Amino acid sequence: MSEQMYIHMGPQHPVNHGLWTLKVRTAGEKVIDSEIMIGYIFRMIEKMAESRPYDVFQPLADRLCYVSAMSWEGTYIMAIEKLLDLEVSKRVQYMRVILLELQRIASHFTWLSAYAGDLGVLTMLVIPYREREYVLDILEHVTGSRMMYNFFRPGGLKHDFPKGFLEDARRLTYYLDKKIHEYKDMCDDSKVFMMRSKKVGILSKANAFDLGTTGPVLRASGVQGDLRKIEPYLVYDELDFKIPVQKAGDCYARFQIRMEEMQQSTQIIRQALDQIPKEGEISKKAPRKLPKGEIYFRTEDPRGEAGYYIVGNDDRIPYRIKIRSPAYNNLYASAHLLKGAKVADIPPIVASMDLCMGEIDR
Amino acid sequence: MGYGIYDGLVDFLLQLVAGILTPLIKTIGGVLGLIGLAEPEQFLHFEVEFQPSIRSTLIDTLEMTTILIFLIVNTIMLIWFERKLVARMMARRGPTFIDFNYGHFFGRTWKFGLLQNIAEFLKFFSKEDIVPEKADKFPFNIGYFAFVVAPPFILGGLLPLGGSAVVADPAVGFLLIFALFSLYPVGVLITGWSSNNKYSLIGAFRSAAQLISYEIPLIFSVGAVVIVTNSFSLVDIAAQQTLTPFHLPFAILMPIGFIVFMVALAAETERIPFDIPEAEAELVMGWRTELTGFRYMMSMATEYFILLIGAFIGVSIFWAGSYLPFIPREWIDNLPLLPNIIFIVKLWLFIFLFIWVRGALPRVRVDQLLNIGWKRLIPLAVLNIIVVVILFISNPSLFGVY
Repeated sequence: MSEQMYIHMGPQHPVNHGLWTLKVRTAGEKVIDSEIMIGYIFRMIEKMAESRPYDVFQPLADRLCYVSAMSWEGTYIMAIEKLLDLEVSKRVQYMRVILLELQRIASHFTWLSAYAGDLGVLTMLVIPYREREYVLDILEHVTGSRMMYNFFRPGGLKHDFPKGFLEDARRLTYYLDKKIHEYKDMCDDSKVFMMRSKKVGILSKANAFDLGTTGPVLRASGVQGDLRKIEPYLVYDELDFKIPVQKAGDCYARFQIRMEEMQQSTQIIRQALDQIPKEGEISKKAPRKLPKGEIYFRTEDPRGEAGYYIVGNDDRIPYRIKIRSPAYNNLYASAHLLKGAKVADIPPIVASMDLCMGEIDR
Repeated sequence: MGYGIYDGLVDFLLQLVAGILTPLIKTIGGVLGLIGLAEPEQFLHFEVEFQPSIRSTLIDTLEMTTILIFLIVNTIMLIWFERKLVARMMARRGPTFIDFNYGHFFGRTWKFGLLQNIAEFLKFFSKEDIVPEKADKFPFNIGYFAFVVAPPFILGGLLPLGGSAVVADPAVGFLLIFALFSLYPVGVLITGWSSNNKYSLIGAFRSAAQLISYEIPLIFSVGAVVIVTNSFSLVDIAAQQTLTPFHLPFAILMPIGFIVFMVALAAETERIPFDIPEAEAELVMGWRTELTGFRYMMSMATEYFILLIGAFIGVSIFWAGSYLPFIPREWIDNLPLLPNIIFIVKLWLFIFLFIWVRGALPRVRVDQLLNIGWKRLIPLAVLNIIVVVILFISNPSLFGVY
């Protein structure tokens, strides 16, 4: 088959987890070129943020990504706090670190099952959801909601941790450690898994920079670009953890990075549980109006650099909000990687980018 | 040959028919003689006799019906078994109970989801049969049933059901089974191409490439068995494995060939490490994307049907059919039904291996699949033949030849 043909993968196709279209030009089994079409679930989130009081927008920030809602609302609230120049207590900072890292683990478990499902190993598609469910259970215990938490507040959090949370969370981290290790071994020992992941979709260091990738995708290409170390926010500078970096830049490297990140996250949670101050102000009164000025605040999302650019205008309603989504850049990096790949490599390459259409289309 | 269970029944039926027909014809002859239309002496010693071919045809028909019902029931149970087993591997429960709920049709709820597949078959039959508008209608309607669904159903009579219970045992034996197997990619190609869908087209070409390249190691791997047994008959090959030292099966005596056979069979049946023709991650449903309703159901059922037939071949050739190691053949043969029970247990163990693999592995890529086939399996199969031939020449009794 030397003739070239276009294959539309999407908007409803198993390869896209979410609504988007991948238009692939193929020659037989080889991908010549690909084009990404997005916009199917564009909800004008930025405009919605610019048309209502800043505190009313906060539950909508949850809806940016249904897999890591906590980190999106957290980033938004922390950006607002930076604009308002609000200080939060040490206890709240530790609590936020615990919640954000739990969310990171839940998000990476979702990624693992999606990636394994795209490779065709249906057992790994189902099992990680069990561990994710435990994480969501404990987050529900704290916030009252499984996915859309609405728990962060300017100046603190909605309420304190419930009774017995610290012990539960500690027990959960040990359980997760065991399970993460088990999954890592399951995949590492599988020869077919390695055949499908290694040397597939190699993203070089230079390209990773040029395409604006962040997060695990960037770290898999040999760059230590973790904002928790480079630009510490909350109390990450008081905690001892390592940032995994891999040089290979292929799908397997991205898999390794995420698995190691989950292990580091459990360590961070344990340290935070040890060091969390017993006393501290949980919530604080925040000013109703955003002051004049502009701010850009970014955190390390499970997918990379999540940022909010907020312009205040001495009003309850922000003048402008621009959201920087890491998955958006990673999605376009995947289009670059697909050139010259096999048709069968499309699912692992796209899945290894950990896409979430909610934050890409906004 | 034959199961031997219908001989008495058929004899009785034929005698019954003869017993009714003989006096009837004699009476008619008498009446005709009275009115002068026939010679009465012609009918004095008249006896209705059937040619032996009628008797054997009747027996064969009954036996074919039996094996087909056996295969269909086992296919349905195989799908249920796979769902339950894979669900357990995934920490799920699978189908738990199914209730038709039309005034409690069966009177009660059936446990373990045993009726799940039957319920789904009924559902598929009630679906609309959609032929894509731009599809090439004739090949789309015909090619698939002619080449995909029909051949496995013809095979039933060639499959031994333990011991020497087999409807027909032609000299070409399992070569005929493999020949009918190889019609499968033709039907897949015709269906995929004619349904005028790009996913189906790619899936169909992948399937053709895969099945053609795995036919070779599959037949090479049993080549060594044919060399030592001097037979293509599944019954003879199974019986030969009782003559080996300690009655060891060929799976232990020629392990390389057995592994090659298992891998090639997994590829032939398009099971999960090699299910690239229907890789649902990139090709939606591969070559069966456009099949709906009963067409889809038949294509899926055929896949399991072929797995079952593959298990029949594998158990007969490599697992000594209904015979066990360390146990003399006579002990098993002399007990009624024991060979058949052992055979069916082995069949399900064989299928269990495939379901286990399905629960554990991702699928390989198409070029990797072809590399495994041409660069690994075929040399291994040839190596197996060389090793077995050297052993056979130096010590024929190792393979049961004296």
